[in-house]
Amino acid sequence: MKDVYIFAIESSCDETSAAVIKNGKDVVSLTVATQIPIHENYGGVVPEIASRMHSECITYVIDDAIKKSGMKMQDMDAIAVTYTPGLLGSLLVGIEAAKVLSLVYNKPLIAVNHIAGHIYANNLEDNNIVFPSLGLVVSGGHTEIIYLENDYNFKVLGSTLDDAIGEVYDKVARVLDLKYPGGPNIDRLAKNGKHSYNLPIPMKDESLDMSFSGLKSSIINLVHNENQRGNVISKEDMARSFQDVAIDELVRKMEIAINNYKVNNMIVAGGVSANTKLREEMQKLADKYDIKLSIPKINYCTDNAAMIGAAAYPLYLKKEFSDYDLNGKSTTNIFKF
Amino acid sequence: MYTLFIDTHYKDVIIVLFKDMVLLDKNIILNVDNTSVETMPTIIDILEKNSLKVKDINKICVCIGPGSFTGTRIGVTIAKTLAYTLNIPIVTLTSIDLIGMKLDNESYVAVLEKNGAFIALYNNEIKGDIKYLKLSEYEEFKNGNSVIEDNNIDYDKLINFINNLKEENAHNVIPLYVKTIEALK
Repeated sequence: MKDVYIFAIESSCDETSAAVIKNGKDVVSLTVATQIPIHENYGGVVPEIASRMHSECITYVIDDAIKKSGMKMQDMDAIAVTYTPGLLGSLLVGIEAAKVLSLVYNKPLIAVNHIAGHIYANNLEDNNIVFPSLGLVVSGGHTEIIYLENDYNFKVLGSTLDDAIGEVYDKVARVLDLKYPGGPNIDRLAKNGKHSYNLPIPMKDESLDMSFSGLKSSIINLVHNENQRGNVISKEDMARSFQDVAIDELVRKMEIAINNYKVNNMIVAGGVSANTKLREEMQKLADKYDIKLSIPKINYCTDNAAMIGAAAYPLYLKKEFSDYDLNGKSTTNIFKF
Repeated sequence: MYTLFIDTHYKDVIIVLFKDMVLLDKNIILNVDNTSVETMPTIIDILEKNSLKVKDINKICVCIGPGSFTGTRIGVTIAKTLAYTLNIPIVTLTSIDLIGMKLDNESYVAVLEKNGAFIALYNNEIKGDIKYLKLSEYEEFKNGNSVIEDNNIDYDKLINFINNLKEENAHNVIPLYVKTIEALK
C-alpha cells in the first residue's frame, strides 16, 4: 500500500504545533511553539493571550514543520487539525489555517478530537496500540479508564466524579507556590521528598470511578492550617505525599480494571502520562500481570501535532473528511468520536 | 490581476473580489452566528461563482480590526495563511480606514460594537491613536464632536486604498486589538 502522509495542526491550548506524520506512526517532522513561559506569569493559561499567540505564530510553525520534513505540502495526502476540546479562540486559529491548506493544495480536511490525539500518541514511533486494550486517560480535563475495542470504538469504564487529576496537580502546585504548569514541578520536587504527610486515601471502593477533590481539599486545609500556626510546609514532602496517594489511586483502579477485563494490552494517554511516578507504577502493574504497556514518549505526552496526525490516520483510511464549515467546539463528549 | 478582500472584524462576513481596479463580485453575510462556519465557504463560493480557482488570486487584503477579537482573528488567520501558501502579496487595513477612506475632510470616525466604540481622528489616514470608549463615554464624546459611523463600503475608494498600501510579510500580519484583555485588568 502507498504511504500516507498527513500534515497535522494542533492549537487547542497553549502550544502551537504542526507535524508531518507517515502512516499514522512515523514522525517525519514536528514543530512545537510553547507559550508556557508567558502563561507562567499569570499562574495559568489566559485564553485570550493563548489565542493571540497562536495567530502570531501559526504560519511560522506550519512553515517550520513542512521545511523540516524535507517534503512539499503537495506531497501530503490530507490536512488534519484539532477541532475539540479546548479553548475555542485557540482552536479556531488552527482550524482556519488548516482549511486554507486544504483548499489551496486540494487535500481532504480531517477534524481530530484532541483526546483521541492523546490516545493515538500510543501509535507513534516504536509504540502501537493493540486492540482490545485498557486505557488510562489522564490530563488537565480528563481522568478516565477506558476500554479500546478497536479504532475509535472506546468505552468509558470509569471516570473521576469531580476533579480531573491534572487539575488537582495544578491546584496543589498553586497552594505550594509552585509555578505553572504544576504537574512537572510537583513531579520534580516529589523525587526529593518523603511521604510524611498523612493524607486521606480517595474512594476505597472497588468501582472504576475516582474522586480527587477530597484529597485536594485536605491538602489546601493542611497547608492553610500549618501557615496559620507559623509552621513551614516542606514542599518536597507534600509533593511526595500527594503524588504517592494520587498515583496509587490511579494504579489501584487500573488493577481492578485488569481483573475485570482480561486484556493483554494497556495504554496511558494524556498530559499526565509524562509523570515519572505514573510511568513507573504502570510499568510495575503491567509486569505483574504480564500485560504489554504503551506510554507515549515524553515529548508526545504533552500537546503536540504528531499525535493529531496519528489520530487522523484511521479517519483518513475510513475517508471521514470534513467540510469548510468546520467549527471549533470547546467541550465535547469525548468518547463519541 | 485579482485582489481578494476579507473583512470579518465584527459580526458580518465581507468577501470582495476585484479584477484590476474594478469590483468583480462581493459576498456579504450580515450578522453571522458563527464567523468560523461562514468565512471559508463564503470565499469558496465567490471564487466558484466567478469560475476562479484559489490559485488565481494575486493579492490579499485583510481588515485587521479593531472589532471582535475572535472575529478579526478568523479573517486574519485565513488571509495570512492564504498569502503564505499562495506566496502572494498581502496588505492590511483597519476597520477605521474602511469608514475614514470615504471622507473628504478631517473628522472623527467610529467603529461600533456591542458595548462601545473604537474611535480615531481621520484625515486620509488615522491621526494619532485609536481609542476604545464604552457606550456611555461614546455618547458623551458624540455631544461635543461630530463622528462618522457609516460603515457602508465604497468599493472604488477601497481598491484605490488597497493599491496604495505597502506589502507586508504574511507571517507578521496580526489583528489590531486596541482593547486590553479583560482577565488581565
